[in-house]
Amino acid sequence: MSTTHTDVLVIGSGMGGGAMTKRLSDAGIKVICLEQGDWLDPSKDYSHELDSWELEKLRGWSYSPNDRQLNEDYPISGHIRPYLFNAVGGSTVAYGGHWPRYKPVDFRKGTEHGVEGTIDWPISYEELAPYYDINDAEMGISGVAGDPSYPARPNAPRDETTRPGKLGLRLSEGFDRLGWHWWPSDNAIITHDRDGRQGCNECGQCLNGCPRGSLGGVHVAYWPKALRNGAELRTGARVEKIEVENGRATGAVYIDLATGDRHRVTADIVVLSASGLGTPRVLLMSEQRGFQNGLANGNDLVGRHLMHHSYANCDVWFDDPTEGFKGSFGAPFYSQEFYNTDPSKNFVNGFTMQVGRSYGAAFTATGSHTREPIAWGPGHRRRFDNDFGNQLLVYVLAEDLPVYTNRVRLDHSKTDSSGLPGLTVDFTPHQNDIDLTNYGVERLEQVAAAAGASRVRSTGHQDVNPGWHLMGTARMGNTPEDSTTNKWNQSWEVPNLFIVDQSSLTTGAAVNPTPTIGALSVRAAAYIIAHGDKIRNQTVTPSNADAPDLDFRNVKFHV
Amino acid sequence: MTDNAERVRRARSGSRMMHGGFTAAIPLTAEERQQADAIVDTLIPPEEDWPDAASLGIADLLEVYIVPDDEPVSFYPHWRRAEFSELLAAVGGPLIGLSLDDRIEQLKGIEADDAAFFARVRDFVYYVYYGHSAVVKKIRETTKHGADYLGGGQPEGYSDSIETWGDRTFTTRGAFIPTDAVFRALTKKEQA
Repeated sequence: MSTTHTDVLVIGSGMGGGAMTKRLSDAGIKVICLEQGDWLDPSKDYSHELDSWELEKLRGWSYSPNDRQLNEDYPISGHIRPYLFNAVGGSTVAYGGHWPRYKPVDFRKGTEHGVEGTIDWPISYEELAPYYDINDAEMGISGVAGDPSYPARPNAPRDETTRPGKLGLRLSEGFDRLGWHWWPSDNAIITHDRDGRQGCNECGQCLNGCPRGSLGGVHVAYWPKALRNGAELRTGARVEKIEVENGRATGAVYIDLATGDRHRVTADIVVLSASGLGTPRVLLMSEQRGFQNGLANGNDLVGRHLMHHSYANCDVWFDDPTEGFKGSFGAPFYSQEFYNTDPSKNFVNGFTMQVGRSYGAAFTATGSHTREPIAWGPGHRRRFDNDFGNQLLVYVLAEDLPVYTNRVRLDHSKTDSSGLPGLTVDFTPHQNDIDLTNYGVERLEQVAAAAGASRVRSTGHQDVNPGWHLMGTARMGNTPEDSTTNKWNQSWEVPNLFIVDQSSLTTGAAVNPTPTIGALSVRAAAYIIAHGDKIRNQTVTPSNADAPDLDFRNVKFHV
Repeated sequence: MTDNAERVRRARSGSRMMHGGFTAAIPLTAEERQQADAIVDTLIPPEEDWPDAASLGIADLLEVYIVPDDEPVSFYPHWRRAEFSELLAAVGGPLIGLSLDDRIEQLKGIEADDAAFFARVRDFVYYVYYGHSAVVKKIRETTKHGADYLGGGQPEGYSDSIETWGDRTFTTRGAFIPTDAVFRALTKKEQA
């Protein structure tokens, strides 16, 4: 077994790991990143020129690792539809790129209602804001400044927004008629060329990845710069175990997927960024002397409090064209009219209404976003004609509660290509989330009618929700009893082990999580740069009050 | 799960994502093509100047997505060649030579007997049919709202034909509470 030493070992190359590696390497810190997936090759790995691209989305480009069955994937069973990619850039290689921030209220849900033991974040929006700005600049964001429902963000540059098309223009009229909030979305989609990436040409296939580099995948936004800085990225490197000695992480052992050989990387600091499912998997697989229940899991919280948002889709048809097949999938606009908890209701939390496109002809025929196929037999073509090109999607993305029993566990009955255990998920939707989501569906139908829809079809709350946003399974918190990490993403049990990805999100808010993961990673990197010497000597993770600080008011904006 | 290099060899695209179907796909026999076309023409009858499945060449695209029997990975539609051959014989075989009305009755019977199986067949036909270049062209030429539809959207994209926000004014509605000003929202239970 070979051994290499580095200053910082990062596990996972997605939003958390990619941002961390780049920012640390900017400061001259030596970083090795281990990624079990590989690079996507723009010249041959994308299917965007095929007319059968929608069929390809169900094959090698399926969001689900259980369908793709790539060497680097691991099996995931249980009550979940797992949507994630194991590749350089992680799940940002194929996503909508919708880029909303958490709102200030999202950091105080324990104070606001505390239902199901919901806790406050140990940080505020204001503390995170400068790091959101930096991450936005690194990723490349398009949008329109000035949404009055958010604090101002003068330091966050924006390309001109992606285009709404007939679809966005039409539905936004419905919101105006009701007097409801809406605003053009920020998207991690550049509309002008930069850094070898091409501006978006609105092909609408973001969820198949982006061969142009317009979609802000971490593999095009962060990694080229990190590699130029001298960071080392080892692909096909599957981490088997994080090793600990005398209470401190010493590094990790990984399996080279090409040869099956094991290698060890030792490091002064280890950063785990393997996703809301991958991170608990690595921690639980890292069971060892002194950590019999898995690493950083003395309080049995690793893998618990899984959140993935509650969704309900509403397909809306009009008599005139919307051309929903056109345009980037990143939302044309969103509404946060019902974002805040309304004490007059029987449920807490709120939701964002997001607007989406229609994909292509095959998706229309097989039932659009509500999955009710166009009837077969005589008249099929006429029915297809009536349903194609005049439809749009509006959906509820609702905050779900962090429920203790909703969890991910190792599944030793199913293994990956290296023989390591897969995962299984226990998840029961909370009645609060069901009621909230169904209330949202009524609002979707209300706005569709206001926009002049000729026909509407809704899913209602979905029992098995799409698992895009896998959050909370190693959460940041206030004490070693209520969480897995302190407010600097330092695990409570191992001071030089940082956890920075969606697993560290304390609550899920009612927005897509990727911007917040990136901001947390940029912030944690700044912390390691500022206090690495202290961290190297810590034998106990400091409390939030005792940890050396960083003043968020003095953050230097540099990209 | 197979070695990725092996997947590249087996994919028509030479990509580990395996798009384009299987290099080793076994072509449908003449009889199987007839059966496949009969299924397609019953689910999506050739009406209103739309050609039938044989004229469009639907089977040419369909066959490359059937999983070869010795393929270690099973992709959508997850039917292996031998199994699919049996399916064609069972579902498509009885349709040969029947009138459209009789073919419809035949498929309705299968749908009633095994709705899940029938849905798999129907959806696969829809995905292949609407992913076929000849159909995409027909959509452009004949549908009410699809004149600009490109099918595979690259390299052209839609940026030349999609509307911007123009001079649209945006809302002035909306507010936020700073983090430290967040207060308790009494739930209904607490209010009681």
